[in-house]
Amino acid sequence: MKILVADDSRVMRSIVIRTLRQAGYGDADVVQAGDGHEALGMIRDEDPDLVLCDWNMPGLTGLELLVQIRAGGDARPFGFVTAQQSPQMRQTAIASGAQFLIAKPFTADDFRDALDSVEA
Amino acid sequence: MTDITTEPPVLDEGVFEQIVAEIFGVMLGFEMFPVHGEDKVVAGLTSLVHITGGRPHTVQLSFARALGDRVAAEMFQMPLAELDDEARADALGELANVVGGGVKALFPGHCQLSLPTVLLADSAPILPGAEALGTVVFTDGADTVSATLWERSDDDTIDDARGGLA
Repeated sequence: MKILVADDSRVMRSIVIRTLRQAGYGDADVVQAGDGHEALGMIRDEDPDLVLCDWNMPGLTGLELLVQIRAGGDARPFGFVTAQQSPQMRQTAIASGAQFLIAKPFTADDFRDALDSVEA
Repeated sequence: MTDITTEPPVLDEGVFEQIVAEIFGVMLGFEMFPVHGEDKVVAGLTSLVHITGGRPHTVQLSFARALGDRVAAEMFQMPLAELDDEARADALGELANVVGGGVKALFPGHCQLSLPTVLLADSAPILPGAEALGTVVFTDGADTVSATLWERSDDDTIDDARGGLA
């Protein structure tokens, strides 16, 4: 399984990758993007099975990235990992085609629940 | 009769302390304890995040420099000696971002969270027209960090809904 982790914070990408390992996804091939534009290119070039994306990034936001790939017919699993944890944000994420939203701060259980539901 | 469903939530110092304590508990690899009766803003490394929209607020975390370094190193899981300013800013900014998200979650309606701003010099941020709603202080037993919640009168001091001070 290849997972793209997109976040403008290097420390958050590092924490997400550690949490993936703790959640049982240590065997996943993880690739990283530091902003939305880079993530868009990596979705095309790396063809990940799952995208884990921050909401608030400079340039192209996570939501704009999701809308853009869905408009292009890309249906791959996409989840947000974000501090934007209001019910409205969650509704917007799901309505835009996200499979899940994991709120920061998160635990390995949060990742396991979200990713296992996508894999099921 | 008041419709309680439209009342804004009570965001007092106790609730703010709970938010900060929970986030420190999950994100840091060592225990932090609240220091009650202490409301002084700590001088050192400061990270800020702004909530814009209907309820303009700012979250400020100010770390004693040694504690800020330990927190950043722990978040990166890197030796202290390898820590640089870019890593400090990234880690402490992300912590403010998550605390800001916890505060924002209590606000109904449409609000946005800015990208974090980090001050690595021992200088206090200036937030014109802002009122401090409360400051809570935590310690790891050696050094302290203060978390201050500001309520801004408007969004004029913020130049971009997604980041930065004007």
